[in-house]
Amino acid sequence: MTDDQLIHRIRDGDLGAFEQLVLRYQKPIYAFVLRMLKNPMDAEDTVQKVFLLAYQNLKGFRFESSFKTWLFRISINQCHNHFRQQKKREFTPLEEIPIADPKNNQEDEFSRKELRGQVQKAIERLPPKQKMVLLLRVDQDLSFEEIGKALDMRANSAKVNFHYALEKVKDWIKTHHET
Amino acid sequence: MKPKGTCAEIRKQLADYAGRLLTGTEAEEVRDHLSRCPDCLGLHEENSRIVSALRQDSPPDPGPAFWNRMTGEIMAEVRHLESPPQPWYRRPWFTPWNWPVYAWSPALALLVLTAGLYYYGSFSDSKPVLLVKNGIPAAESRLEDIGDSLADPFMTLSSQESARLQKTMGRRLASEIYARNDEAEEAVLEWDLSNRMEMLSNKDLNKVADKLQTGTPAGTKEVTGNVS
Repeated sequence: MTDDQLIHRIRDGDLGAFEQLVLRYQKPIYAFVLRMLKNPMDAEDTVQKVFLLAYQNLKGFRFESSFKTWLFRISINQCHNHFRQQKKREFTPLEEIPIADPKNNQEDEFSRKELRGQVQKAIERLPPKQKMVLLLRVDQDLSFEEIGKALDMRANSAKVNFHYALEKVKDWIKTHHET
Repeated sequence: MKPKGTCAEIRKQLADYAGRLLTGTEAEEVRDHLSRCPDCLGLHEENSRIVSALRQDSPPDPGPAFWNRMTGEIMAEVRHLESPPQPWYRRPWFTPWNWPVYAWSPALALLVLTAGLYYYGSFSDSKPVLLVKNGIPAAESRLEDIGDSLADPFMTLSSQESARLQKTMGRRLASEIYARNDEAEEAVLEWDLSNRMEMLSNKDLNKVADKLQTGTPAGTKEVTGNVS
């Protein structure tokens, strides 16, 4: 059964249909929120809020985007709320970090494990919007069209943000490998 | 041979190409460019490595128990939203420990009743409200209690002495109970204690005399003198 069919059934009062949607999307939503908040307890609470908000606002869902995209949009808003409440802006903007010479290519010296660690650290320092675009694209396989709808931006903007995010991650890895 | 002039356009499409989001013709164009441009190919490989590392670094699955619990909690919240409103007597407007109102009401009534009974019982003996109309029940009952112990020694008193003794005792009782209330004193003086006194033993009479000794000196002398 498709998401849209399940939504129609929920609107007719079928709670089991909503449970199907929860089972279908709780994993990707949790993975995304956990990446953003970095705290399993906060992530769990936020995911519950996301689904509760989705249920409460399901009557307002107009099928202009996919349910998955809509759910990610709610998740993004909840992450923003969480940051506002916690005043957690711990990331260091990458603009402050000196950018290395791109010709100095030494990635081969990284082991795969080291590279993963470096990527993770670099992502944590990305501006929230770029971080979200990167995670939604890489982790959740959302298209730029879907990311644009989730983040309330054009698909091209999402693509540019993704490009910048990737460049910053690469630059950060090079810089920190040298130092 | 390097296809110059198209690198910028191709690089814009690399993210979509890596994500397999391009159509057949577009993807073919990028693939063709990468096969002939080492710079763009290097960039593409670099991007792919970063994206691959990021994908591999996804958080571990917490396990089926976690997902079951999360689903259960979400659905419990949703069912709570959908449950019909409770009738007024079950609404939690005053339910410490989550007791329903119909459990609290009898408990509260019992508490009030117990407090009322305790208050009434504690103060009933000393409340002036009991001193009504013709008598002084509290004082009278006290005299009745000691009445049986009043005995013969009072028989030896003259009628004059007996009258004095009665008056003295009456005053003392009146002063204790009524705090010099003249009207009450009159009521006490109307009692006839002579019959009670007749039943006092010597020992009891001595006790009475001792008590009276701390009172009026005149009364003390007369009573003591007669007894001894």
